[in-house]
Amino acid sequence: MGAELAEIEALYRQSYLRYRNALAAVTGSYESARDAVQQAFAKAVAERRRFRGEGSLAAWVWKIALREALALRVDFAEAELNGSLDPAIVEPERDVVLSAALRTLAPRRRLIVFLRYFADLSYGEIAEVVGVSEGTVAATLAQARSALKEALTEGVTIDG
Amino acid sequence: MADELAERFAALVHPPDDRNWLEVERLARALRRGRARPVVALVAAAVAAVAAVLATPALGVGGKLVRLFESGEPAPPVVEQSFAKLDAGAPPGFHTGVDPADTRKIVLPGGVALWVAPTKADGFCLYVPDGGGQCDAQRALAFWPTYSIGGRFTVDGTIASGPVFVTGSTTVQGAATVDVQFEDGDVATVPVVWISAPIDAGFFGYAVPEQHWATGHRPTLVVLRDAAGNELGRDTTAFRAPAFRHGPSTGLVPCLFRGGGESCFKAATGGDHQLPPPRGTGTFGAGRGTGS
Repeated sequence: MGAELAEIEALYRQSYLRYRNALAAVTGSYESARDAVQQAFAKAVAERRRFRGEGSLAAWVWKIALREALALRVDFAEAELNGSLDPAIVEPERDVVLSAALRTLAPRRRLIVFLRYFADLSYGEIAEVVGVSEGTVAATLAQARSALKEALTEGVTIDG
Repeated sequence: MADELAERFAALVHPPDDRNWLEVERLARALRRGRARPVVALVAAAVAAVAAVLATPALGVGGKLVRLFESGEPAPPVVEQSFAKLDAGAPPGFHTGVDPADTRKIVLPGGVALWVAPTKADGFCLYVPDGGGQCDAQRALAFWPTYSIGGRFTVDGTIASGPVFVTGSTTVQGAATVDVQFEDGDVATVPVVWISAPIDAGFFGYAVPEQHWATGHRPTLVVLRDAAGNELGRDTTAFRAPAFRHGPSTGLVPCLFRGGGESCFKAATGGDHQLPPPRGTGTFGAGRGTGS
């Protein structure tokens, strides 16, 4: 099967900011997120013959990008994070309520929210990237909305 | 509430668009060749350097790897045009493939500034303001120092004014410092600053002080070393053919003058030009990093 170079380039040009902004939640900074995106697309180009077409090209590149982002995060703060996934808004002070609401979710579910709202992926694509069912994606997003509603009505406590 | 969640995400402010597809293609080519160092490693090696990069408009770090093409200072039009001229009037087969729009500035420890631009064949061109400049269009020159005299000099060869530079590049992995040795026995050591993809090469620069402009005190040898002090390469030919204050060049003429042979053609043009076997020993050639 394989992917065409032009398809990957089009995806990059259309979606770069979505990838970068969502991955910043994983790596902890926009700079390292950019590295992850660049390296992910470079790998996608170099290995495009291996794309089997079983899912969307975007989801395939997202899987690569998440691996790159996680590796960067480990390199940046291995002692602190022990390599665990802990996505968060890079600058939480920009919306402390949203940030606090997201903190009530488990890290993997938080990633689902970021993939939905930063990356604009469909439920199906999120399910493919994260490796869960579409039902889990829907339930997670509902939980996030509920957490936000609660944070808005009951207020939040800001650490630090 | 679904809309509010979306609205709050949409309201978050992110940095400006900094996409660069050309860089992706270069990284991909490097990956296919199997010589790419993952950005993961680059970042780990350069945490301190990156902090400096983000804090300053130009780069001023030494012995570190920096992500120049993310944060480096873009070139002013006059520098871009200088690089663009390299290919504008070049005869067939003599195009360097330099990408002037991707020119970036690096300020080396000691204050020497370089402008660096990638080429389509994964090489690079560099230009030292008030000094020389050259291209290694296909990464054929493993250790490529240049001695440049930017000021006035007399007919008897006396350097009357500066700046005088020893600058250059290397693709020898592990290169960390360059010793500049003088005729009077003095030695100055300068760090090699590594620039990440799409350049993926090390650069060094030294402004020769006035006490080393006079005959008997001038630079005569450069030695490339790793972090442990082991010698990786050396060159004396740079000092036989100083560059006299010009802009970027293909590097072909000074390279040939210094005995680089066919490597010069490859470095300057990336073409398959053939040359009779060189008469002298050179310090050039892919993968050698040292000659004499």
